[in-house]
This record gives sequence, C-alpha cells and structure tokens, in this order.
Amino acid sequence: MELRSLTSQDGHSQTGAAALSGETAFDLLRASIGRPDLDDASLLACLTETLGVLGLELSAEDLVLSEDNAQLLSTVLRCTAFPQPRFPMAMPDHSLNVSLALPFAAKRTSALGRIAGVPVRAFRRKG
Amino acid sequence: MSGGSGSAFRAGIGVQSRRLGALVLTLILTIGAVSMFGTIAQSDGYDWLDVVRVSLIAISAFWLAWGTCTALLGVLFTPDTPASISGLPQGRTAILVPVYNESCGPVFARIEAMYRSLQAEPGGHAIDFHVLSDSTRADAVEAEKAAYRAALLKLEAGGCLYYRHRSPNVGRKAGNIADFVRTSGGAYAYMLVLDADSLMRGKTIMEMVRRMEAEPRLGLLQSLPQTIGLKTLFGRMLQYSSGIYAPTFTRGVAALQGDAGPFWGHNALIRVAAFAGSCGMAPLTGKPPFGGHILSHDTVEAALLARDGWIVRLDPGLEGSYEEAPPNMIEFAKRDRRWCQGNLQHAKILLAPRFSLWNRTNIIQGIFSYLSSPVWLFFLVSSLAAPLVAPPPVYFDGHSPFPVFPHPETTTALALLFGVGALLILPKLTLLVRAILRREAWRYGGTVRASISSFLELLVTSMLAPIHMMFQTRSVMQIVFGADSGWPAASRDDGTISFWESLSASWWMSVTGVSGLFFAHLFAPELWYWLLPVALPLVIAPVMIYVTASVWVGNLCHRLGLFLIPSDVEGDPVIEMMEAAEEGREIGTAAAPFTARGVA
Repeated sequence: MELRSLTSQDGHSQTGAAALSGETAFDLLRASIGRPDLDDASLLACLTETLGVLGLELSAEDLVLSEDNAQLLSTVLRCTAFPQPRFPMAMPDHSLNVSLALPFAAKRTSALGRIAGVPVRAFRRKG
Repeated sequence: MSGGSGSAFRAGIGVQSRRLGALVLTLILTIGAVSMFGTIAQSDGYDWLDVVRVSLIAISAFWLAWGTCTALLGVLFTPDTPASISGLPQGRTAILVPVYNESCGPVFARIEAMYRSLQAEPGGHAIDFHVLSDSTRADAVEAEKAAYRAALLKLEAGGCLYYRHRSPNVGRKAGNIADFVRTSGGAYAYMLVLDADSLMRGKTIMEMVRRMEAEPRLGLLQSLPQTIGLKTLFGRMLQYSSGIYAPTFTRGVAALQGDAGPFWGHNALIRVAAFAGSCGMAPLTGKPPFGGHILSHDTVEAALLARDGWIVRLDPGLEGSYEEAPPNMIEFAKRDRRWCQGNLQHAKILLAPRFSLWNRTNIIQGIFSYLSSPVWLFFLVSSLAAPLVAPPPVYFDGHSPFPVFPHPETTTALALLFGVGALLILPKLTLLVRAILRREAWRYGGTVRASISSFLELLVTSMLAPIHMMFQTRSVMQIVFGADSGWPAASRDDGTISFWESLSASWWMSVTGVSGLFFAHLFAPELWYWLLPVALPLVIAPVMIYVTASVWVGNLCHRLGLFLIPSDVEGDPVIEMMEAAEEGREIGTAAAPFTARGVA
C-alpha cells in the first residue's frame, strides 16, 4: 500500500537532510513516517506532546529543523502518539428491512374492492 | 472450464453433497425418535397434548441430530490445505481492538504480547494496532489513555499503535468498526478484528494474511479461537471442551458451510474493501429488542459478504488463536442474554433480499440455538401435564367380552431414552476416541486424564444443562415481551462469586425444581423418577453455580492434571508474554518499529 511504500529504507537520510529547510523538512518527515495525511500543525502538536511526556526541554520545530537532532528525532517519533491515518473509505449502509407492508396493503385494497364490488382504484388515496 | 473454476465447482458439489447427507441422516434420526415417542404417547390414547409433545420432540430431536451429524462430519471430513503465498504480504493490515469500559491492564498486556510476537515475524512490522474505544465511563477512558501512553513508550510503537475514543458510540461494536473503516479504511488492505479479550500468535496472523493474499475472492477468514485464561471449575471445563472437541466439531461446521462460512465477530481477518462495500447495515425499523441497530452483527456481515460473491471461510486448522470467556454460569448467562437478543432479532432479516438459502439456514440455526431451550422446557411441562388430560383407559371396547389392556411400551421408551442419550454422548465420545487414536490426548494430559476429564465434563455439563435451559428460557421470554438487554460491559475478573450471589441469581430455579417434583409426586407419580435428572440440578442450582465458580476447585483440578489444554501442556510464547506483561515482568527489549522501517 501507499503508506508502506513511502516508508523507505533511506528514510533516515531523508530525515537528516530535512534539517536544512522548514518546508522540505516536514515533507520528508511525513514521507519517512509514511503519514502524508498529517499537516505541519498536527505533526508539531504530536511531537510537542511527546517532548512534554519525555520531559525534554526542546521545541518541536527545533527538533525537526536541526540536523544535530536526527537521533533524538527518531527516538521521539517512536514514542509519539500519532492520530489514526485519515484515509476515508466509503461504507454505504444497506437496508435489511423487509417490506411486507406494500404487498399486504395491495391485497387488502384489492380484497376490499372485490368485497365492496367497486374498482380497486376507488380505495386509493387522492392527491 | 478452467482448473480454478473446475476445482471450485467440485468443492461446491462436495459441500452440497455433505449438506444433503447431513440433512437426510438428521431426518432419519428425527423420524425414528418421533415415531418411537408417538408410539409411547398413544399407548394411553391420543389427545391434543400428545400432538404438542410429538411436535416439540420432533424439533428437539432434529436439533440434537443435526449437532451429532455436524460432529461426525468433522471426524470424517478432511479439508484441503488452504492456498497461501510464500513471500511477504503486500497489503497492509490493521489489527482492531474494540474496547468498552474494559479493565485496561489485561487488554494492553495482550496487545503487547501480540506486538512482540509480530515483531519476530518477517513482515510483522507492516501491521498496525488500533485500539478503538467505545467506553462511556470517564474513568475508563482516562485509564485507557494512560495505558496507551505507557504501552507506546514501553514498546516504542509510535506510528504502529493507535488509540481512538469515540462518543457517542453509535451502533455499538459494529458501529465502532464501521467508524474505523470510514476514517482509516483506505490505508489498509486487511483488518484483523479482535475482541478485547482476544490474543493471537504473530505467526498465525501472518499466515492468515498470506492466505488472504493467495485468494483474491476471500472476503473473510475466520480462525477458531481457543478459550484460555480461566481459573474456575466452570472456566476450566469450558477451556477443555473448547480445546478437545471444538476443532473437530468446527471442521464439521466448515464442511457444511463451504464458502458461505461463519463470522464470529472476532479473531477473523477481513478484506477491508469487501467489508466496506458489503457490510454497512442500516438500523432496523422499530424499537429494540427487535428493531434498532443490529446487535449480533457478525452473522449478518458474513451473509452480506456472501451475497456479494465474497468467500467467507472458516479455517479450523489455524492454531494460536485465543479468547477468554465468562468464568461462571452467571456471567455466561449474561453474555448469552445479549447474544440471545441479537439472534432473535435476526428473525426480522430472515427474508432480507439476496441472502443465500444457506445463509438463511445459518440465521435460523442461530435463532434456534436459543429457542431450543423453551422448546425443551415446554416439552417437559406438557409431559407432566399429559396424564391429567389423558383419557381413562378403556378395558372393554364392546368388541370383546374380555378386557383389553393397554400395550406396554417399556421397550420403546427405553430405546428412545438410550437413543437420545447416544445423540448427546456420541459426539463427545467420538471426538475423545479420535484424539486418543490420533495420539493427541497427550496435549490434554494423556489418555487417562483426558478420559477422566471428558467423563467429568460430561457429567457436570449434563447437570448444568437444566440450569442453562432455565436461563435461556428466561432470556427468550424477556425478549419476546420486549425487554432490551442494553450493552453491559463484560466482566473479566477471576469469576469467583459468593454463595449469596449464586442464590440470588438462581433461587427461582430451585423453586421451579421443587414445584415440578411436588407436582409430579401428586399428579404424575410415574414420571417422578424421569423428572429427577432435570429437577434435581434445578433444586441445587445455587450450589452448582457456586461450586463451579470456585477458583479453588478449578486449581485443584489443574493440580490433578484434569481439564488441561494444549497451552497448559506445551506452553505458548504469546500467552507467556501476555502473562508477563500483565504481571509487569520484563520480557526483553522491544523491537523498535522505526528500526524496521529504516528511520533509526
């Protein structure tokens, strides 16, 4: 699948190279963790939360942008609670209700019509 | 015809033949039982109650004979080896762990064990875990979040282990899974649906994925979960019977079901696209218990997949699939109450469009597995009442000056008794003998201990059967009169209960048992001894429930080598890892997922 194919063996070097510029850094980080659905803000929020949990006094931006932090970044990523992948799939609901009303109603009307000796259409609702 | 479609055609013919054979044998046995009972019933003249009794015994005998035929098929039928790819699977898999106000420790211990077990398998790192919480209690949600965070740090499973809580929990478990599909389904080819108490070996999971990849038409692959982790006498007996009998019996089920197999709601691998396209279920019209969201969604999902042409297959040969179960009769009855409502609700969809005849038969079987209890009870009650409405014997019929005495039918009655006994005992006996002959009894403690265990299991479950009948009959009556079971959380404690709890849950059974014996003594004394095997367990139901819920008795049996199961004898690393994780013991260094992905 697409997500897994993005997680390449050279992900580390990509992440390291990402330290050079902000926009590229986040793109490569997304690619290396196989999460193209995460925007910059979501990534930063996840990393900030993890840094807090780990007790590290470092901003998420510095962690991503500084090339000295590649090892630390991989450790933080391994401990990060990412949100579920956002890859929606349509799942239509199928009705399993069995409609017995129509045939019964038709028969009732028809039988009533026969009993009353008038055409069936006389019992249909107008409007 | 190509080779593939030719073999599929032959397999289809095989399944149809087995179904026909089982049906014919079942009908023969049923007709035999009905004719014998009819002979007995008419010995004192026919009346309307005899017609009712004969009808009820026809239904019961059919049900019993069908079960026996299924077990015999399991002995006789050897399934083909399922196709499987040899390399690494290409599709990504999500393991779904739905939780609902569960105790977090055991849930995350199982996740940890499965995660570690998967990391040891080639390709195991390509599988993600999703804990899908539907919990409603704030403390339970907080505990889940804390346990998730702890597991994430311990396993360093960021990007492989996810947690999501949703509120409101529309559609219960089916809605929970559907929510995952609608949110994240596009990221995965397959999903392994578990219960909160499910546990599976990494090797088994990978093999299921490989089998799924080998057959593009396979929509759902169901494994046979073995019951583990129970310490009470009731639980150990349940584990033992599920271990020694269920695999062969399930082979019989698979032989009958073919490509329209069952889904038991967990420990099954599902093709996400197939599930998304076929298994969305709109609520039924009307109010619960028969309307609203479909409770026992699994049977319906299997039918929906099959009606869209997907194969739904049960592979009983897959080992290393586990679940837990209610540890005592009271918890068992509570779970049964939910399942009963779910199955009876299926009566509303029996005529749903495009279901195959076999899927409709499955639905009927599910419904009847609960209706069989009231049928049995009504048969007993009508048999007790029969002497009251029977016409007085006519000794002088006007054709002969000599008295004509009723023909004794003792031999027929005994033949029927032994016949029904054989139908009850034969399947288990056959499966025990099969295990011994195939040298598999050592997995259950050896030939002697397995034989003693089987005898005790048969004895105790026979005594528990009337209690089970009463619980199920009450459930059916409650549902018929419109009571909704709600969605109580499953209790997963060790299962010990106090005598007071047992008494308060079953005093009404004791009253029923004593009343039945008293009634028989007054109005049908000849039936008193016949009633005893049913009435006596009811009279002592509080004691039975209390004793079988004892962990002490269960552990004593275990020390004596009784009710052992393969995981007791052989051990299983995934169970050991789960136990170690639950007790907080160090297992080893967690495999780092990002190492596998190449980030570190």
